[in-house]
Amino acid sequence: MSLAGFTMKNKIVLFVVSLFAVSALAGKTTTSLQQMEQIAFAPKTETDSLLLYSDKELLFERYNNGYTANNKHVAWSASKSMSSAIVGALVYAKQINIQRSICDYIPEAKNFNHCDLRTADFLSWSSGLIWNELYEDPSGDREQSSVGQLLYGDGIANTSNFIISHPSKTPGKNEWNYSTGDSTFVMALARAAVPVVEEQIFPWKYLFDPLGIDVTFGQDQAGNFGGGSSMYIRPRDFAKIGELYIARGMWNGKRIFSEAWVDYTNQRPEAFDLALYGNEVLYSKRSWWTLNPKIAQARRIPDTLIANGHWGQYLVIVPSLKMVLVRMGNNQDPTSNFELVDVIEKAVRAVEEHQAGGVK
Amino acid sequence: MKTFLATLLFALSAQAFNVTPYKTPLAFLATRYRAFHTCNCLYVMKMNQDYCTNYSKVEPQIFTINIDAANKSVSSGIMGMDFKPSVAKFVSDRVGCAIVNQ
Repeated sequence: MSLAGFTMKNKIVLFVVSLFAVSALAGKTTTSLQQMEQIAFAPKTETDSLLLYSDKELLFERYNNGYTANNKHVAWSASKSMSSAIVGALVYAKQINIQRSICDYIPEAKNFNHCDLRTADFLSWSSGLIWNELYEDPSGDREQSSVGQLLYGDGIANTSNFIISHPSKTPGKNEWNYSTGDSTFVMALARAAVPVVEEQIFPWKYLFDPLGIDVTFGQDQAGNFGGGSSMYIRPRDFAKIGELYIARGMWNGKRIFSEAWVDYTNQRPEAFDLALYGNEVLYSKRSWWTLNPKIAQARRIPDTLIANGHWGQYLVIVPSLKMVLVRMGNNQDPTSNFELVDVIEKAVRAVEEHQAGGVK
Repeated sequence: MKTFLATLLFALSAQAFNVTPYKTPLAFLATRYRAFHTCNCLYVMKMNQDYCTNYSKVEPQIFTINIDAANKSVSSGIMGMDFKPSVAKFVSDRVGCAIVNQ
Protein backbone atom coordinates (compact mmCIF):
# COMPACT_ATOMS: atom_id res chain seq x y z
CA MET A 1 0.00 0.00 0.00
CA SER A 2 1.35 3.44 -0.95
CA LEU A 3 0.89 6.45 1.27
CA ALA A 4 1.93 8.84 -1.51
CA GLY A 5 -1.54 10.30 -1.97
CA PHE A 6 -2.02 11.11 1.73
CA THR A 7 -1.35 14.52 3.25
CA MET A 8 0.95 14.74 6.27
CA LYS A 9 -2.10 15.27 8.51
CA ASN A 10 -3.77 12.17 7.09
CA LYS A 11 -0.55 10.20 7.57
CA ILE A 12 -0.47 11.19 11.25
CA VAL A 13 -4.11 10.18 11.68
CA LEU A 14 -3.37 6.87 9.99
CA PHE A 15 -0.37 6.34 12.25
CA VAL A 16 -2.43 6.98 15.38
CA VAL A 17 -5.20 4.65 14.16
CA SER A 18 -2.57 1.95 13.46
CA LEU A 19 -1.20 2.37 16.97
CA PHE A 20 -4.67 1.76 18.39
CA ALA A 21 -5.07 -1.32 16.21
CA VAL A 22 -1.71 -2.72 17.28
CA SER A 23 -2.39 -2.08 20.95
CA ALA A 24 -5.84 -3.67 20.60
CA LEU A 25 -4.21 -6.78 19.13
CA ALA A 26 -1.58 -6.75 21.87
CA GLY A 27 -4.37 -6.38 24.42
CA LYS A 28 -5.91 -9.55 23.13
CA THR A 29 -2.97 -11.57 24.46
CA THR A 30 -4.13 -10.74 27.95
CA THR A 31 -7.74 -11.79 27.55
CA SER A 32 -9.05 -14.05 30.29
CA LEU A 33 -9.07 -16.93 27.82
CA GLN A 34 -5.37 -16.54 27.18
CA GLN A 35 -4.63 -16.09 30.86
CA MET A 36 -6.49 -19.34 31.45
CA GLU A 37 -4.35 -21.06 28.84
CA GLN A 38 -1.13 -19.65 30.30
CA ILE A 39 -1.97 -20.89 33.79
CA ALA A 40 -3.25 -24.29 32.63
CA PHE A 41 -0.27 -25.05 30.39
CA ALA A 42 2.53 -23.46 32.42
CA PRO A 43 5.62 -25.65 32.96
CA LYS A 44 5.02 -28.52 35.41
CA THR A 45 1.23 -28.31 35.10
CA GLU A 46 1.11 -31.63 33.18
CA THR A 47 -2.14 -30.70 31.47
CA ASP A 48 -3.08 -33.22 28.75
CA SER A 49 -6.20 -31.43 27.53
CA LEU A 50 -8.24 -28.33 28.27
CA LEU A 51 -11.62 -27.50 26.73
CA LEU A 52 -13.97 -24.62 27.50
CA TYR A 53 -17.57 -24.27 26.33
CA SER A 54 -20.02 -21.39 26.63
CA ASP A 55 -23.61 -22.47 25.95
CA LYS A 56 -22.32 -25.48 23.90
CA GLU A 57 -19.99 -23.25 21.84
CA LEU A 58 -16.39 -24.43 22.00
CA LEU A 59 -14.33 -21.39 23.02
CA PHE A 60 -11.06 -23.17 23.67
CA GLU A 61 -9.53 -26.58 22.97
CA ARG A 62 -5.93 -27.65 23.35
CA TYR A 63 -4.21 -31.01 23.70
CA ASN A 64 -0.74 -31.70 25.00
CA ASN A 65 1.80 -34.44 25.81
CA GLY A 66 0.93 -36.47 22.70
CA TYR A 67 -2.84 -36.53 23.26
CA THR A 68 -5.36 -35.58 20.57
CA ALA A 69 -9.15 -35.27 20.50
CA ASN A 70 -9.26 -38.95 19.52
CA ASN A 71 -7.45 -40.32 22.57
CA LYS A 72 -9.52 -41.54 25.48
CA HIS A 73 -8.12 -40.45 28.83
CA VAL A 74 -8.45 -42.29 32.12
CA ALA A 75 -11.05 -40.49 34.26
CA TRP A 76 -9.96 -42.09 37.54
CA SER A 77 -12.36 -40.92 40.27
CA ALA A 78 -14.29 -38.65 37.93
CA SER A 79 -15.86 -42.02 37.04
CA LYS A 80 -17.76 -41.78 40.35
CA SER A 81 -19.80 -38.82 39.11
CA MET A 82 -20.59 -40.56 35.82
CA SER A 83 -21.67 -43.67 37.76
CA SER A 84 -24.07 -41.41 39.65
CA ALA A 85 -25.43 -40.17 36.31
CA ILE A 86 -26.03 -43.79 35.26
CA VAL A 87 -27.98 -44.41 38.48
CA GLY A 88 -29.98 -41.24 37.84
CA ALA A 89 -30.94 -42.63 34.43
CA LEU A 90 -31.92 -45.95 36.04
CA VAL A 91 -34.07 -44.13 38.63
CA TYR A 92 -35.83 -42.27 35.80
CA ALA A 93 -36.39 -45.60 33.99
CA LYS A 94 -37.78 -47.02 37.27
CA GLN A 95 -35.09 -49.71 37.39
CA ILE A 96 -33.79 -48.86 40.87
CA ASN A 97 -35.09 -47.19 44.03
CA ILE A 98 -32.17 -45.63 45.86
CA GLN A 99 -34.07 -45.45 49.15
CA ARG A 100 -34.56 -49.22 49.37
CA SER A 101 -32.29 -51.47 51.41
CA ILE A 102 -29.23 -52.68 49.53
CA CYS A 103 -30.24 -56.21 50.59
CA ASP A 104 -33.18 -55.95 48.15
CA TYR A 105 -30.60 -55.84 45.35
CA ILE A 106 -27.58 -57.65 46.77
CA PRO A 107 -28.76 -60.26 49.32
CA GLU A 108 -25.14 -61.09 50.29
CA ALA A 109 -25.13 -57.83 52.25
CA LYS A 110 -27.29 -59.61 54.87
CA ASN A 111 -24.32 -61.79 55.79
CA PHE A 112 -22.50 -58.68 56.99
CA ASN A 113 -25.51 -57.00 58.73
CA HIS A 114 -25.66 -54.15 56.21
CA CYS A 115 -29.39 -54.23 55.38
CA ASP A 116 -29.88 -50.85 57.07
CA LEU A 117 -27.89 -49.23 54.25
CA ARG A 118 -29.49 -47.84 51.07
CA THR A 119 -28.05 -47.07 47.62
CA ALA A 120 -28.47 -43.40 48.60
CA ASP A 121 -25.88 -43.83 51.39
CA PHE A 122 -23.30 -45.11 48.89
CA LEU A 123 -24.12 -42.31 46.41
CA SER A 124 -23.32 -39.87 49.22
CA TRP A 125 -20.02 -41.53 50.22
CA SER A 126 -21.73 -42.11 53.55
CA SER A 127 -22.02 -45.89 53.84
CA GLY A 128 -19.92 -45.77 57.00
CA LEU A 129 -18.02 -48.90 55.93
CA ILE A 130 -14.44 -48.98 57.15
CA TRP A 131 -12.32 -48.08 54.16
CA ASN A 132 -8.71 -47.00 53.72
CA GLU A 133 -8.59 -44.73 50.64
CA LEU A 134 -4.79 -44.78 50.30
CA TYR A 135 -3.28 -44.54 46.82
CA GLU A 136 0.28 -45.09 45.66
CA ASP A 137 2.17 -43.13 48.31
CA PRO A 138 5.21 -45.39 48.87
CA SER A 139 5.50 -44.18 52.47
CA GLY A 140 2.04 -45.55 53.25
CA ASP A 141 1.15 -49.17 53.95
CA ARG A 142 0.06 -49.90 50.40
CA GLU A 143 -0.69 -53.52 51.25
CA GLN A 144 -3.48 -52.31 53.55
CA SER A 145 -4.93 -49.85 51.05
CA SER A 146 -8.58 -50.77 50.46
CA VAL A 147 -8.43 -49.20 46.98
CA GLY A 148 -5.28 -51.09 45.99
CA GLN A 149 -6.78 -54.36 47.19
CA LEU A 150 -10.12 -53.57 45.50
CA LEU A 151 -8.57 -53.07 42.07
CA TYR A 152 -5.44 -55.25 42.09
CA GLY A 153 -5.72 -57.59 45.07
CA ASP A 154 -8.32 -59.33 47.21
CA GLY A 155 -11.13 -57.58 45.34
CA ILE A 156 -10.46 -58.42 41.69
CA ALA A 157 -12.47 -61.67 41.63
CA ASN A 158 -15.60 -59.86 42.84
CA THR A 159 -15.41 -56.21 43.90
CA SER A 160 -19.00 -56.19 45.17
CA ASN A 161 -18.38 -59.04 47.65
CA PHE A 162 -15.06 -57.47 48.68
CA ILE A 163 -16.62 -54.07 49.48
CA ILE A 164 -19.64 -55.33 51.36
CA SER A 165 -17.50 -57.60 53.56
CA HIS A 166 -16.09 -54.48 55.26
CA PRO A 167 -17.69 -53.79 58.65
CA SER A 168 -19.38 -50.53 59.57
CA LYS A 169 -17.21 -48.11 61.47
CA THR A 170 -20.06 -47.03 63.70
CA PRO A 171 -23.09 -49.27 63.01
CA GLY A 172 -26.35 -47.39 62.67
CA LYS A 173 -24.65 -44.03 62.15
CA ASN A 174 -23.56 -42.79 58.73
CA GLU A 175 -20.24 -41.06 58.44
CA TRP A 176 -18.98 -39.27 55.31
CA ASN A 177 -15.86 -41.03 54.08
CA TYR A 178 -14.77 -40.46 50.48
CA SER A 179 -14.52 -44.01 49.18
CA THR A 180 -13.88 -45.72 45.85
CA GLY A 181 -15.57 -48.70 47.52
CA ASP A 182 -18.85 -46.79 47.93
CA SER A 183 -18.93 -45.69 44.27
CA THR A 184 -17.94 -49.12 42.98
CA PHE A 185 -20.71 -50.65 45.09
CA VAL A 186 -23.19 -48.14 43.60
CA MET A 187 -22.49 -49.69 40.19
CA ALA A 188 -22.80 -53.22 41.64
CA LEU A 189 -26.25 -52.24 42.98
CA ALA A 190 -27.18 -50.77 39.59
CA ARG A 191 -26.08 -53.95 37.85
CA ALA A 192 -28.10 -56.06 40.29
CA ALA A 193 -31.17 -53.87 39.75
CA VAL A 194 -31.39 -54.14 35.93
CA PRO A 195 -32.70 -57.20 34.07
CA VAL A 196 -30.09 -59.92 33.56
CA VAL A 197 -29.96 -59.26 29.81
CA GLU A 198 -28.88 -55.68 30.51
CA GLU A 199 -26.15 -56.47 33.06
CA GLN A 200 -23.33 -55.85 30.60
CA ILE A 201 -24.89 -53.02 28.62
CA PHE A 202 -26.86 -50.80 31.00
CA PRO A 203 -24.27 -47.96 31.29
CA TRP A 204 -24.44 -47.53 27.51
CA LYS A 205 -28.16 -48.21 27.11
CA TYR A 206 -29.30 -45.66 29.70
CA LEU A 207 -26.59 -42.97 29.49
CA PHE A 208 -23.70 -43.23 27.05
CA ASP A 209 -25.42 -44.35 23.83
CA PRO A 210 -28.13 -41.64 23.93
CA LEU A 211 -25.34 -39.04 24.36
CA GLY A 212 -23.21 -40.64 21.63
CA ILE A 213 -20.37 -41.30 24.06
CA ASP A 214 -17.89 -44.08 23.33
CA VAL A 215 -16.62 -44.87 26.82
CA THR A 216 -14.45 -47.74 28.04
CA PHE A 217 -15.61 -48.99 31.43
CA GLY A 218 -13.43 -51.60 33.16
CA GLN A 219 -14.91 -54.64 34.91
CA ASP A 220 -13.77 -57.07 37.57
CA GLN A 221 -13.63 -60.82 36.92
CA ALA A 222 -17.29 -61.20 37.97
CA GLY A 223 -18.48 -58.51 35.55
CA ASN A 224 -18.93 -55.70 38.09
CA PHE A 225 -18.04 -52.27 36.68
CA GLY A 226 -15.24 -50.22 38.21
CA GLY A 227 -17.70 -47.45 39.08
CA GLY A 228 -15.24 -45.60 41.27
CA SER A 229 -12.25 -45.38 38.99
CA SER A 230 -12.25 -47.29 35.71
CA MET A 231 -13.74 -45.13 32.96
CA TYR A 232 -11.79 -43.96 29.91
CA ILE A 233 -13.39 -41.12 27.99
CA ARG A 234 -12.50 -38.52 25.34
CA PRO A 235 -12.52 -34.92 26.63
CA ARG A 236 -15.24 -33.78 24.18
CA ASP A 237 -17.43 -36.65 25.36
CA PHE A 238 -16.71 -35.79 28.98
CA ALA A 239 -18.02 -32.28 28.23
CA LYS A 240 -21.33 -33.79 27.05
CA ILE A 241 -21.94 -35.02 30.61
CA GLY A 242 -21.63 -31.38 31.68
CA GLU A 243 -24.14 -30.23 29.06
CA LEU A 244 -26.56 -32.92 30.27
CA TYR A 245 -26.54 -31.45 33.79
CA ILE A 246 -26.89 -27.88 32.46
CA ALA A 247 -29.94 -29.05 30.48
CA ARG A 248 -31.18 -30.63 33.73
CA GLY A 249 -31.32 -34.15 32.33
CA MET A 250 -32.49 -33.49 28.75
CA TRP A 251 -30.48 -34.50 25.68
CA ASN A 252 -31.70 -33.76 22.14
CA GLY A 253 -35.32 -33.79 23.28
CA LYS A 254 -34.95 -37.04 25.23
CA ARG A 255 -35.04 -37.09 29.01
CA ILE A 256 -32.10 -39.07 30.49
CA PHE A 257 -32.79 -38.33 34.15
CA SER A 258 -35.21 -36.11 36.06
CA GLU A 259 -34.66 -32.52 37.17
CA ALA A 260 -35.17 -33.82 40.69
CA TRP A 261 -32.11 -36.01 40.18
CA VAL A 262 -30.00 -32.94 39.32
CA ASP A 263 -31.26 -31.23 42.48
CA TYR A 264 -30.56 -34.36 44.53
CA THR A 265 -27.01 -34.57 43.11
CA ASN A 266 -26.46 -30.94 44.08
CA GLN A 267 -27.21 -31.55 47.76
CA ARG A 268 -24.42 -31.75 50.28
CA PRO A 269 -24.45 -35.18 51.94
CA GLU A 270 -25.98 -34.88 55.43
CA ALA A 271 -22.91 -36.57 56.91
CA PHE A 272 -20.39 -34.22 55.25
CA ASP A 273 -19.24 -32.44 58.41
CA LEU A 274 -18.24 -28.80 57.84
CA ALA A 275 -16.48 -28.77 61.22
CA LEU A 276 -14.07 -31.33 59.76
CA TYR A 277 -13.95 -30.37 56.07
CA GLY A 278 -14.92 -26.67 56.05
CA ASN A 279 -11.50 -25.52 54.89
CA GLU A 280 -11.16 -27.98 51.99
CA VAL A 281 -11.02 -26.51 48.48
CA LEU A 282 -13.74 -28.89 47.31
CA TYR A 283 -16.94 -29.68 49.22
CA SER A 284 -18.78 -32.92 48.66
CA LYS A 285 -22.07 -33.15 46.81
CA ARG A 286 -23.66 -36.55 46.14
CA SER A 287 -20.97 -38.38 44.10
CA TRP A 288 -19.87 -34.95 42.87
CA TRP A 289 -18.04 -31.93 44.28
CA THR A 290 -18.32 -28.16 44.36
CA LEU A 291 -15.92 -25.33 45.19
CA ASN A 292 -15.74 -24.22 48.82
CA PRO A 293 -18.31 -21.37 48.83
CA LYS A 294 -15.87 -18.99 50.55
CA ILE A 295 -13.31 -19.49 47.77
CA ALA A 296 -16.00 -19.27 45.08
CA GLN A 297 -17.30 -16.00 46.52
CA ALA A 298 -13.84 -14.44 46.80
CA ARG A 299 -13.07 -15.35 43.17
CA ARG A 300 -16.56 -14.43 41.90
CA ILE A 301 -17.18 -17.98 40.67
CA PRO A 302 -20.89 -18.94 40.54
CA ASP A 303 -22.12 -22.30 41.88
CA THR A 304 -20.21 -25.22 40.38
CA LEU A 305 -20.74 -28.95 40.00
CA ILE A 306 -17.40 -30.72 39.68
CA ALA A 307 -16.30 -34.24 38.81
CA ASN A 308 -12.86 -34.73 40.31
CA GLY A 309 -10.43 -37.52 39.52
CA HIS A 310 -7.01 -38.58 40.72
CA TRP A 311 -4.00 -36.81 39.19
CA GLY A 312 -6.05 -33.87 37.94
CA GLN A 313 -9.12 -35.03 36.02
CA TYR A 314 -11.82 -32.35 36.17
CA LEU A 315 -15.22 -31.65 34.67
CA VAL A 316 -16.36 -28.25 35.95
CA ILE A 317 -19.97 -27.25 35.27
CA VAL A 318 -21.27 -23.73 35.94
CA PRO A 319 -25.00 -24.01 35.24
CA SER A 320 -25.78 -20.29 35.65
CA LEU A 321 -23.33 -19.45 32.83
CA LYS A 322 -23.98 -22.63 30.80
CA MET A 323 -20.23 -23.14 31.10
CA VAL A 324 -18.40 -26.46 30.84
CA LEU A 325 -14.68 -26.82 31.49
CA VAL A 326 -12.82 -30.10 30.95
CA ARG A 327 -9.28 -30.57 32.15
CA MET A 328 -7.48 -33.88 31.97
CA GLY A 329 -3.92 -34.35 33.10
CA ASN A 330 -1.30 -36.48 34.69
CA ASN A 331 -0.26 -34.97 37.99
CA GLN A 332 1.36 -38.11 39.34
CA ASP A 333 4.73 -36.40 39.76
CA PRO A 334 4.54 -34.67 43.16
CA THR A 335 6.50 -31.69 41.79
CA SER A 336 3.79 -31.06 39.19
CA ASN A 337 1.18 -28.47 40.03
CA PHE A 338 -2.15 -27.55 38.49
CA GLU A 339 -3.97 -24.53 39.95
CA LEU A 340 -7.59 -25.57 39.54
CA VAL A 341 -9.20 -22.54 41.18
CA ASP A 342 -7.14 -20.06 39.13
CA VAL A 343 -8.08 -21.83 35.91
CA ILE A 344 -11.78 -21.95 36.82
CA GLU A 345 -11.67 -18.24 37.71
CA LYS A 346 -10.15 -17.28 34.34
CA ALA A 347 -12.54 -19.60 32.50
CA VAL A 348 -15.52 -17.94 34.20
CA ARG A 349 -14.21 -14.49 33.28
CA ALA A 350 -13.65 -15.63 29.69
CA VAL A 351 -17.18 -16.98 29.39
CA GLU A 352 -18.63 -13.83 30.95
CA GLU A 353 -16.64 -11.69 28.48
CA HIS A 354 -17.72 -13.85 25.57
CA GLN A 355 -21.37 -13.72 26.56
CA ALA A 356 -21.12 -9.95 26.95
CA GLY A 357 -19.78 -9.79 23.40
CA GLY A 358 -16.24 -8.87 24.42
CA VAL A 359 -14.47 -11.74 22.69
CA LYS A 360 -15.37 -12.88 19.22
CA MET B 1 12.08 -59.52 69.97
CA LYS B 2 11.84 -57.56 66.74
CA THR B 3 9.50 -60.17 65.28
CA PHE B 4 7.42 -60.13 68.45
CA LEU B 5 7.12 -56.34 68.34
CA ALA B 6 6.24 -56.40 64.66
CA THR B 7 3.57 -59.03 65.28
CA LEU B 8 2.19 -57.03 68.18
CA LEU B 9 2.10 -53.80 66.16
CA PHE B 10 0.45 -55.62 63.28
CA ALA B 11 -2.20 -57.11 65.59
CA LEU B 12 -2.85 -53.72 67.18
CA SER B 13 -3.16 -51.90 63.87
CA ALA B 14 -5.49 -54.60 62.57
CA GLN B 15 -7.62 -54.18 65.69
CA ALA B 16 -7.61 -50.41 65.30
CA PHE B 17 -8.98 -50.84 61.79
CA ASN B 18 -11.38 -53.50 63.07
CA VAL B 19 -10.99 -55.29 59.76
CA THR B 20 -9.25 -58.46 58.73
CA PRO B 21 -5.97 -57.41 57.15
CA TYR B 22 -5.90 -57.92 53.41
CA LYS B 23 -4.06 -60.91 52.00
CA THR B 24 -2.66 -59.96 48.59
CA PRO B 25 1.04 -59.04 48.96
CA LEU B 26 2.43 -55.76 47.60
CA ALA B 27 4.39 -57.57 44.87
CA PHE B 28 1.11 -58.71 43.29
CA LEU B 29 -0.59 -55.33 43.75
CA ALA B 30 2.34 -53.53 42.14
CA THR B 31 2.85 -55.86 39.17
CA ARG B 32 -0.89 -56.10 38.45
CA TYR B 33 -1.21 -52.31 38.62
CA ARG B 34 1.72 -51.91 36.24
CA ALA B 35 0.51 -54.52 33.75
CA PHE B 36 -3.11 -53.30 33.88
CA HIS B 37 -2.35 -49.61 33.36
CA THR B 38 0.26 -50.18 30.69
CA CYS B 39 -2.27 -52.35 28.83
CA ASN B 40 -5.07 -49.75 29.05
CA CYS B 41 -2.68 -46.94 28.17
CA LEU B 42 -1.58 -48.79 25.01
CA TYR B 43 -4.86 -50.31 23.81
CA VAL B 44 -7.53 -47.97 25.21
CA MET B 45 -5.83 -44.59 25.47
CA LYS B 46 -3.75 -45.54 22.38
CA MET B 47 -0.60 -43.80 23.58
CA ASN B 48 2.88 -44.97 22.66
CA GLN B 49 5.01 -47.54 24.47
CA ASP B 50 7.47 -45.08 26.05
CA TYR B 51 4.66 -42.95 27.38
CA CYS B 52 2.75 -45.94 28.74
CA THR B 53 5.63 -47.68 30.53
CA ASN B 54 6.43 -44.36 32.21
CA TYR B 55 2.77 -43.62 32.98
CA SER B 56 2.35 -46.88 34.88
CA LYS B 57 5.55 -46.74 36.90
CA VAL B 58 5.46 -47.85 40.52
CA GLU B 59 7.91 -46.99 43.34
CA PRO B 60 10.38 -48.53 43.89
CA GLN B 61 11.03 -48.90 40.17
CA ILE B 62 11.83 -52.62 40.18
CA PHE B 63 8.72 -53.82 38.32
CA THR B 64 9.42 -54.87 34.74
CA ILE B 65 7.18 -54.61 31.68
CA ASN B 66 6.91 -57.02 28.79
CA ILE B 67 4.54 -56.18 25.93
CA ASP B 68 3.05 -58.85 23.67
CA ALA B 69 1.62 -56.59 20.97
CA ALA B 70 0.29 -59.46 18.85
CA ASN B 71 -1.97 -60.60 21.69
CA LYS B 72 -2.54 -57.13 23.20
CA SER B 73 -1.21 -58.49 26.45
CA VAL B 74 1.17 -56.95 29.00
CA SER B 75 3.06 -58.72 31.78
CA SER B 76 4.95 -57.31 34.73
CA GLY B 77 7.50 -59.06 36.92
CA ILE B 78 10.15 -58.06 39.44
CA MET B 79 13.68 -57.22 38.33
CA GLY B 80 16.18 -59.95 39.23
CA MET B 81 13.59 -62.10 41.02
CA ASP B 82 12.01 -65.43 40.18
CA PHE B 83 8.44 -64.07 40.26
CA LYS B 84 5.66 -65.32 38.01
CA PRO B 85 4.65 -62.15 36.15
CA SER B 86 1.20 -60.58 36.47
CA VAL B 87 -0.66 -60.33 33.17
CA ALA B 88 -3.29 -57.91 31.85
CA LYS B 89 -4.96 -58.55 28.51
CA PHE B 90 -7.10 -56.37 26.28
CA VAL B 91 -10.68 -57.71 26.22
CA SER B 92 -12.74 -55.25 24.15
CA ASP B 93 -13.19 -51.56 23.42
CA ARG B 94 -15.97 -51.36 26.01
CA VAL B 95 -14.20 -53.21 28.83
CA GLY B 96 -10.58 -52.36 28.05
CA CYS B 97 -7.97 -54.56 29.72
CA ALA B 98 -8.52 -57.11 32.48
CA ILE B 99 -6.14 -58.73 34.93
CA VAL B 100 -5.61 -62.40 34.11
CA ASN B 101 -5.47 -64.88 36.99
CA GLN B 102 -1.97 -66.05 37.90
